[in-house]
Amino acid sequence: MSNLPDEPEHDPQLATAWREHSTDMPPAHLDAAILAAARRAVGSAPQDAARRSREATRPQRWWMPLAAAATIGAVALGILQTGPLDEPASAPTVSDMPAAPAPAREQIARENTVRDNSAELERKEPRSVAPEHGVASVAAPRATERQDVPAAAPRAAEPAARSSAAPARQAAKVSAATITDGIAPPPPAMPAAPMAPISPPPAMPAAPMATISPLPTLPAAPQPFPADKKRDAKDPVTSKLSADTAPARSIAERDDLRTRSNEVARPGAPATAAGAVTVAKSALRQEATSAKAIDIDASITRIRKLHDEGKLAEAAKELVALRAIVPDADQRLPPELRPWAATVRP
Amino acid sequence: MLAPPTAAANLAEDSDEALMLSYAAGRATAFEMLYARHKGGVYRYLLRHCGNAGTADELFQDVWMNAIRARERYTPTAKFTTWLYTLAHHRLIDYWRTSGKVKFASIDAEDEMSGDGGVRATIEALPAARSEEPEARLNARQLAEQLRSALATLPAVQRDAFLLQHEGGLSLNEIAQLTGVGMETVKSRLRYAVAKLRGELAMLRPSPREDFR
Repeated sequence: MSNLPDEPEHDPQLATAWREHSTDMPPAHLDAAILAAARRAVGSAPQDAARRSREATRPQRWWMPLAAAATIGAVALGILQTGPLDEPASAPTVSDMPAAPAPAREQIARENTVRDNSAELERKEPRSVAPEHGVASVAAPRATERQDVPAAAPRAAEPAARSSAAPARQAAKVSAATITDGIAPPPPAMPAAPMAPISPPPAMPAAPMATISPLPTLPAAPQPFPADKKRDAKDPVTSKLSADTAPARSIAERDDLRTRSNEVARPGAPATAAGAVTVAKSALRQEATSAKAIDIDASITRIRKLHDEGKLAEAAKELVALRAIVPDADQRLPPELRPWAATVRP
Repeated sequence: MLAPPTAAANLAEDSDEALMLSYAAGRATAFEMLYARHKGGVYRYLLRHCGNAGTADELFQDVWMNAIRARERYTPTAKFTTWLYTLAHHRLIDYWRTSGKVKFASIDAEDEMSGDGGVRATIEALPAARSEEPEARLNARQLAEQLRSALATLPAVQRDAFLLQHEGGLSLNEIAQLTGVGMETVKSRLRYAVAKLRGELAMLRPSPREDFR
């Protein structure tokens, strides 16, 4: 374009007048619609420059809530894992028997000793005339019932035993089962039947068995831990059991049997725990069979009585008989009888 | 503008073609700058042609939407204004064709006719300007409205050439390229348009009402 006057297609005055008076503009809503369409077409929206700059300079903190969540999860997992570990440790199971510690095995041996004493007393005393098969028939269902009863059944006859360790409880349950089944068959014919019950289920508390036992003269049944002297002193039932069984077996015999049991149940023994218990029971049974006719304490009592009555010849005979069984019979005599015993020759 | 000041300053210095290419590359602010530059001229071009604000709004939106859709096909072989007013011109032709009021073919034929009968026929076919009230001629916008009225009396091709020259800022060559006619034809159209409008302005100043009638 040019402003030359010789160009009839262009008039500067007309152009100026047109420019001054032609000021129509599109409406605002039309502007907004078109600009929005333009932004949508390129997939961008108007953004605040200050906000964009803040976002650009904002520190990367996305990991903070993630780290907090991970920490909480780790703590919760740790709590869940440490919590239940205590309960299974005290849960009684038969499968834990092979790993039973040595004290538990020793207690099993003691229980067998008590059982043998009970069987001996049963044979000796005429009042224990309860039918053996009846006992067995009663004991067997009770054992079955006890399988259904959980181990949490209270042991009424032995409150102090509740604080015992878990291995002791397991041993007590096994020994209670052994005693229960051991009562059923007659003592002379005790082959393998008493040995089998080692494997019964763990939930077999001994206290209910004591309450239903048809043999009131068999106090050994409810005694699961006779070796615990402190507990025996506290528990009246156990104390009574100890008093009843004391005359039936001498201390020396008990110690001897205990020693043998410990030897058999030594942790280094090659046999398994069940096998060790079986061997220990066999040894104890043989020992008890050979020495069951001798009542050391009773013999000492009779010797003292005869000595005090002046029946020295009879006392000497009794002492000789005692020496035949107990090598250190003289040491077991009361001190006032030892000088006299030194004069007695076999 | 919502863009950062530095970016806006750079956009203001860019040419129309660079802005269009930038918008085609995904920069929406470039289109905003383009729109701000040319929205008035395109709108007035359409409004003076159709004489109806509602129709002008519709056509105006269509033109810019076509520009948005055609952004990826845009190549700076010519001026952006030529390309943009070509879109507006085509949209206007479509509007006239669909409305059936004016046929550009007959108007083009009238161009060779160059008689007053043809001009009158075109004026009767054009819609009246919305600001064409007798009361408005006496106020401050009297001159502007008289110009619009005088423009409305022009044949469509002459009015189109005049509007492309004064609203779009196109050169004779660009107008010729846009309308598809020769340079001399464009000059002829412009000569008729300017002479007609100059005469209207000369009659308006001494006695606008009497001379107009």
